[in-house]
Amino acid sequence: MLFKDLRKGLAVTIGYLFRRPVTVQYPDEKLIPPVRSRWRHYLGVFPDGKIRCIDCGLCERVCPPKVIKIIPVINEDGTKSAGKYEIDLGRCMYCGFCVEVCPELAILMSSEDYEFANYDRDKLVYQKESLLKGRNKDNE
Amino acid sequence: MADINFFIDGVPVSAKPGETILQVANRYGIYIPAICYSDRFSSPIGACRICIVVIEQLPEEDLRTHLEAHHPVATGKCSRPMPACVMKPKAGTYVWTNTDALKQARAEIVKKWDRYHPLQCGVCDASGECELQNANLEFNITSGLEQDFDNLPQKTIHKEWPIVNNDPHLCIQCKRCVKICDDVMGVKALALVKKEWGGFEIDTPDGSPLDCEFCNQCIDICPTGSLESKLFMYKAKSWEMEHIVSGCFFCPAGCELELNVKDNKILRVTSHLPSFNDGNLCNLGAFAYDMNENNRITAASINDKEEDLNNVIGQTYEDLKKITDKYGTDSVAIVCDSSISSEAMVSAKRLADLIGTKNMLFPEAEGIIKLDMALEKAGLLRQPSYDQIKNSETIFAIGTDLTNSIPLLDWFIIRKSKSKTKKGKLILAHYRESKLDKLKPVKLRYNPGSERELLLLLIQKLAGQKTLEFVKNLPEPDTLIKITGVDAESLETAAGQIKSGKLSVMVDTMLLEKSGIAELLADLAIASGNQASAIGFWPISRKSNIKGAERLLLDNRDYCLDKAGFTQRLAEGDLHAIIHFGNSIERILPAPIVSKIADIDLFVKFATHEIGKTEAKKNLVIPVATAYEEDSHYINLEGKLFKAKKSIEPKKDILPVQSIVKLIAEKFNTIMSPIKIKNDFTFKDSAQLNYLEYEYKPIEEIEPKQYPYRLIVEHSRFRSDVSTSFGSGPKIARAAGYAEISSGLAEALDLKSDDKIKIVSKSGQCEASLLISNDLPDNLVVVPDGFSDINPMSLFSSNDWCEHVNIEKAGGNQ
Repeated sequence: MLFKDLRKGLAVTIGYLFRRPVTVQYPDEKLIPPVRSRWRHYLGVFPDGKIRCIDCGLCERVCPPKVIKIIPVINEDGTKSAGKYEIDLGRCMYCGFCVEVCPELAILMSSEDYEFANYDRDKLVYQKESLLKGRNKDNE
Repeated sequence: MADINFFIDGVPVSAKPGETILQVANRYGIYIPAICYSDRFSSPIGACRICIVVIEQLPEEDLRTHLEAHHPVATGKCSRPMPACVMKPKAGTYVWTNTDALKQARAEIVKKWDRYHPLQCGVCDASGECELQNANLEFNITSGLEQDFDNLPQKTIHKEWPIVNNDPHLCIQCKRCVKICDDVMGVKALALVKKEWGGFEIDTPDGSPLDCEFCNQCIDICPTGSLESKLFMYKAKSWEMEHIVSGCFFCPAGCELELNVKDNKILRVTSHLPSFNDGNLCNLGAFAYDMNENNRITAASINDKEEDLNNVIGQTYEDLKKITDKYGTDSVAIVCDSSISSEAMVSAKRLADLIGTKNMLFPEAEGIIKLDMALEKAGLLRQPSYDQIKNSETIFAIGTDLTNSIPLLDWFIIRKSKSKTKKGKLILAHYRESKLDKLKPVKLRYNPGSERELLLLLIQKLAGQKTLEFVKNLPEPDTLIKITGVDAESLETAAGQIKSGKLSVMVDTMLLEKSGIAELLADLAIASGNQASAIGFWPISRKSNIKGAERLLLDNRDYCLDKAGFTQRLAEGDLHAIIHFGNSIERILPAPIVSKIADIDLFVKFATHEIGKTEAKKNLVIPVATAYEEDSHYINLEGKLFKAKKSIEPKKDILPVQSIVKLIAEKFNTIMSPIKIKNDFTFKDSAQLNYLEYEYKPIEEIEPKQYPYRLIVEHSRFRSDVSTSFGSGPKIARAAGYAEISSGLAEALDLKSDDKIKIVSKSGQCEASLLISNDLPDNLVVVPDGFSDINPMSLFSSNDWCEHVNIEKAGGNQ
């Protein structure tokens, strides 16, 4: 038959034309990510606002790409907590090991907050302050 | 006694007499877990019972089948579990280290420790190097802990102790800290004390805050995080730091240690095993590491104005050129501290060669050179080794407090006194008490200043009539005894012990500068009847590379300018430029000499730390790297070269001395080859021992009326070079310099402890807080060296070893 190949191909195209679209028109439309997906990190705090992290160093140790860096500080009551907490999200592989290993539930990962793309790699290095902001509804 | 043959886990082993089962097993590489045992102790503690083994005695034929069957233990025939660290093996017995019952028993012990041990591994500094963690992992304890935190005993956490943080909740009561404090350091600052809640805690015996040598030993040996350094607390996790094995450059002992470095910063110092110092460190070695950050000179300067390093180097060259052109090369002198590295010393010598001068002065090495010259003449010049002290029968220390001067020698002697086989003899000739007096040595307490008379007395006792052949004007023994004030009975014992065998003579280098001391010491050694190989001389100094200076000067004898010569040339106006390698020239030369430096044209200083200021017409300061910031070499007391490794990067524009001298050499159109320090100095053995002649002159010192007291400089174990004043650890242990007087004198002058007093001498004055001791003679004022706030040299008016001073209450006259 004439143009057999062409017609075959067009049939597929025309077929898809009448189906529901697979992609979404981001950023006008947004998909809801799966509930157990792992996105941006944030740091947990106690109800009184005190940071939960005690700088045990397990997340630093377990992190495969070694993107976490903590500098501890001694509090007035003699306990230890994270004075500085730094994650390079540009190099993070989002494996979630840090969340899994944390004994104090101090580091968590958001299941929704994935929109932190940036033009500058340096700006992907998140400091303690911005990690503390994050999603506070989970921060109880 | 013959070796004892027995079996450990079926392996035939043989024990030397006196060895315990654990020691034999360690030697054969058979693993027996142990917590409270350490090779650093002279005897086992036997507190933890982790090293338990069972011992089985079977008839020969039974055993053969026993081994063939690979059956670990024949039930019913074994002893009950015995600690291997205490038990001595019996011939023909079979020791089993790892039966199921033993495994279970060990796990039970660890579980007992775990019961009240807080689950704070996340914040504990010991986490990662904790032996309790290791034990739990080793015995696979994952369940059945029955932790009971509701009934936690109320223990006291000692946060008030300086440097050491003691949290008894974490303690497993292995008593290692108690043992090391008593056994190795001889201090006994810690004890297991019964508390109100009914149990025991580690505490000071009387419950007062810790006041000891702050040597880090207890912190270092603690298996858990119970004893922790406050300076390191919460700084880093154990696995994050790089361990750099290096040598300690704070005193000439040259102990091996490990620098723990993270992010270009030294965070703590841990001990290195195995090492000749058995992992032992003193306060300086363990806690003075942050002197590298404090009070550093960060930029080169000309007359206090900061300048670019290259400008200053160019200026140095031009000024030196001008001066040498105008006054000749002999008008330049190079002065070196004895605590700089060998590289820096060789650089200084190369700079002297470039300039064409031979005026090199090592003020602190003068005593050691005097001794070497005397020993060479006597045929005794040799290099003793640390093993010689360990094996030497008699140690004779004169004018030196070893605890404060060289802690390593102090540890050797304490260790020796604990040993059953090699006890040795100890003679301490000093004018005051010291820590080693606890070991019950022969004490020769003399009046300070009468060292020569004391040596003459001893020589006379040993050599008898022969003494008259080499000592002129020898006075009667009774006169000498009266001058020295020494106890005749101890003198007799001391003379007997010196004669008895191998001899190590330890003498302070400050004392050696006194005329006649070196010669008399050589005579004494010969009179002891020993061969040259059985005599070791140990010049004791706090300056870390005093031996390096000695070697350099012995190799280049024509470069030697002495203090007297330097003083004279400076007074005559012959010197126009001085180059100083070291931090502070006013701490190594007496005040009147230093004040003359103001008249010279150029003063160049290669320094690491900002201490004091020397004013000449033109001052150039060039910052240099510390031994932490470059690979450098030092020569330790036993003449061995050791390396202080580069562990951190220096700041911009701070270079090692040799790089700067290389840059200066380039201006002289010379390319300097890299410096390689070799330790190839050989001592020639001499067969003939010659007595050195000595002419006795009675001292006719007239005490000036307005200065009735004598000032003596002593060493402090918390300082060596003045730069160690800037380390936090030494500063906590002893915050400021002090002046010590006897209680009698304090009473007479109506002074109390901690009063501020003013010490006045002919050439200067300085203020210090007062310390009252019971063991000092009444006319003595003792000031320690190395403290940044007191400079005893500023009181000295000459190169003499002591100075006449007066003391008064500070502010009393105004």
